[in-house]
Amino acid sequence: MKVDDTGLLAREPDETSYLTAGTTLRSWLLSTDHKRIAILYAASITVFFFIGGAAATMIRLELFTPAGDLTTADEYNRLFTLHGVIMVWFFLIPSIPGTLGNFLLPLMVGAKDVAFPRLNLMSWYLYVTAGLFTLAALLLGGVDTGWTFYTPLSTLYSNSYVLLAAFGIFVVGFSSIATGINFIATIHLLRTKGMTWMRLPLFAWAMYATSLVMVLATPVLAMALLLICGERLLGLPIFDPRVGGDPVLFQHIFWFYSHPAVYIMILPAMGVVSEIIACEARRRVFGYQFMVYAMLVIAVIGFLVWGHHMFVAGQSPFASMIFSFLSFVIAVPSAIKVFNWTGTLYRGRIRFSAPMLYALGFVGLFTLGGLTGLFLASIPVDVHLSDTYFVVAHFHYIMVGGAVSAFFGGLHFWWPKITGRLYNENFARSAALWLFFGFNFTFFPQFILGYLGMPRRYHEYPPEFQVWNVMSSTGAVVLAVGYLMPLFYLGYSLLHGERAGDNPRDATGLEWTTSSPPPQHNFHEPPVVRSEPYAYHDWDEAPGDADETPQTDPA
Amino acid sequence: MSSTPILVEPFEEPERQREAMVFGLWLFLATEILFFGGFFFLYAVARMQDPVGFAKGAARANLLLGTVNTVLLMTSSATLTVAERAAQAGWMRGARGAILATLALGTAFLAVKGFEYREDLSEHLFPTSPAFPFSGLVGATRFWSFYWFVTIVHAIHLTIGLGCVARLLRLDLPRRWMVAEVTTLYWHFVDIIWLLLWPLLYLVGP
Amino acid sequence: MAGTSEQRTIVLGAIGIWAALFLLGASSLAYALIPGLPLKLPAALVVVVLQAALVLGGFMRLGKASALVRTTALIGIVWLSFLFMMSFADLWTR
Repeated sequence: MKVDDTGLLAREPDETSYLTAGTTLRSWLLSTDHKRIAILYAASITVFFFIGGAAATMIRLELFTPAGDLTTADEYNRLFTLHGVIMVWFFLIPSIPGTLGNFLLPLMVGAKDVAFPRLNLMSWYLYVTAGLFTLAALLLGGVDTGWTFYTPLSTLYSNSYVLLAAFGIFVVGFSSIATGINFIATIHLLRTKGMTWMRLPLFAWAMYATSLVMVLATPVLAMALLLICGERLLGLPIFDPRVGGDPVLFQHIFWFYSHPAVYIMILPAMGVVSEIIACEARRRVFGYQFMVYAMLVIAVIGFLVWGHHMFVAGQSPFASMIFSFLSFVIAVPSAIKVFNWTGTLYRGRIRFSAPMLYALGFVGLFTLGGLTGLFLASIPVDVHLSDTYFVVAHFHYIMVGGAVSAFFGGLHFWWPKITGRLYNENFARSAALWLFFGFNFTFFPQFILGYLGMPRRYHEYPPEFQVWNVMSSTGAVVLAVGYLMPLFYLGYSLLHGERAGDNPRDATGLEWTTSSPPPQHNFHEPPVVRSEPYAYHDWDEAPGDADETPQTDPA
Repeated sequence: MSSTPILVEPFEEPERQREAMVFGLWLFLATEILFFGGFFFLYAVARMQDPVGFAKGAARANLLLGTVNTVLLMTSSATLTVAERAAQAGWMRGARGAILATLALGTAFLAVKGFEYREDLSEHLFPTSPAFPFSGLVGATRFWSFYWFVTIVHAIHLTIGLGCVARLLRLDLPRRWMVAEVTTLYWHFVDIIWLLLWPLLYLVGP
Repeated sequence: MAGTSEQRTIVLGAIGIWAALFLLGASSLAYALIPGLPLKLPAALVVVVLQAALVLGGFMRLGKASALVRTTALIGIVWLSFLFMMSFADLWTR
């Protein structure tokens, strides 16, 4: 640890941390401090995570037996729509950017705040307003279209609260756009002295790539949803096949957003995992520049693969071939990242801490999720697997096994910085292992179910599928318990946890050079960056225990 | 620049703040390009599928009122430019007058649009109206769906723009002309969208 | 307070661009109304591109903006071209 005593003494003794700078409710709800907004986001996404999780639990309980005995077919439709809508737009998309991104990005680039602090606060209010609209749709009786709102079901036939839910998602899109604009402007214009582009931590790069996708994809979703509202509310027949409308066009503009949205979820996760692996393996990131380019390439090519959702929807075979090819192409930068994480571990001094367990879990689950994605990108295989549980398992490996694991890993990794307290490492490690086990127990059987031909979105199924479904449902119970565990030990640490020092993990990033929790203006004096990130050891030497060079020190 | 601009956290120098505001607004305009782009994509497909029916429907659009509105909006862009540059040069009387002119022109646009809507409705030019003259005609029905959808979306954008421009009157403009600058960027963008809608809605018929 | 010559530059500059926009619009209208002319919609779209260029360059001063801002403006168009390109790859080969 390189924080010397003089640095500690040089601080103004009266400067308070962001947590104690104001204690009234008003000082939180009207705060433009990016750190407080991150906490607001964290609290609200936790609520939505458990609402979405409750719906998932109901789904898995229903699927315990082949007969549809717990819910009716219609109720089941509303449950999985609720689960999808809440988890995609109100948990996964804002999860890492809204919480860790808001908290860490200005710290990592050495800024006092994001570029537009008031817009940042507004983004949270938009999120909450949108959440209320969507929850209202749920309480009034739900939506039965699935999270994809395909026409003409959503416009002509669905007798549920599509309008309210679609409007809620329209609004939450603006919250996403506001965050994206803020992050891009912050990274371009507020980097501190010496923080060149190639000295940016990979998490900051991940936020940059994510924000690009948020800003460029979300508006197209807004238009798609507004067209649905126009068709339902005013009766304007835009996608109605009876007057020449083409429902496949809706799918085009919907997936122009919703496929890149997957990268909004996974790119931040890649950033988090890169930070954790470098620090906990005490190694320089292998191939830093390739990691950066890989993320940018993923962000761009991610916009060109959406048609693989439409192989069986009436898309032309020629277009399907192009989309299939590009979907294979995007596996290349993803594979580069997996190889580079592995390369970073090689000859590392690995600490199997809780964040590291989540990160290692991420690498494995992401690889499995990504490789099964290639099955689905291949047209002949997809014709068999389309709309089966194989697809469900594939994207849960990416979104839950990948994105949620990384979010939990990041939460643990930066917990001492955010709260100033240490959590109980043994509890945290057990929870990480428990979740990894529970996750695979839940979702691996679904690959087999899908391969055997069980279609998704049905509340009953032939008895021969029961054994796999029982495994999956049992796993879901394990998973649900696992997700409750951090609530307790992290909650306990808030009040009784041991005080964390400024840099309990001996990490190199700028965020670790300020106090824990950081003061209101982030740094006691504006930091100057003098070296690259991840200087955990000399180039020609293997890592030792504490050889790291903070970014503020010359290499 | 007449007096020192007001700085907002986290900025420490006016140039940096201005760059950030203009950049941030342009990022937003990029989202707007993609937002309207989704609509123009559907429009292009629909017109290619049935150009004759499309033109038949479009022939009933009120060219006169549409053209009047185009001139109104074009003029409002010019007046708002005067307002913004006057504010930057410290010519406050000119700025206020030009802002008021812009508000008047923008409101006039919405009023003309309202009259146009009333006339369209009295002619049953709404796709779900029982007396819709083109019922059964694919291209014309889709034209009128697009017409209503996009003019309403555009009018909402313009109304938001009017709110932002009106807000300029209450600001300490000599020190906050940067706000005027980014407001005009948004207004001009809404103008460009209309310049594109005008031929697509009113000139494809004749 | 700006001098009268500066005031005149501001007002005349705006009027100049406005006049060009107006004339372009008038030519577009005339071309659309004269019967029998070919390529009416493409012609109208060319005029819109010119008008948009005038608003972007004259009113929004994109030409004087930083490279970062100009790139941002361009990126919106480029990404929109992705939507058109890939979707038409489907529509034209059905």
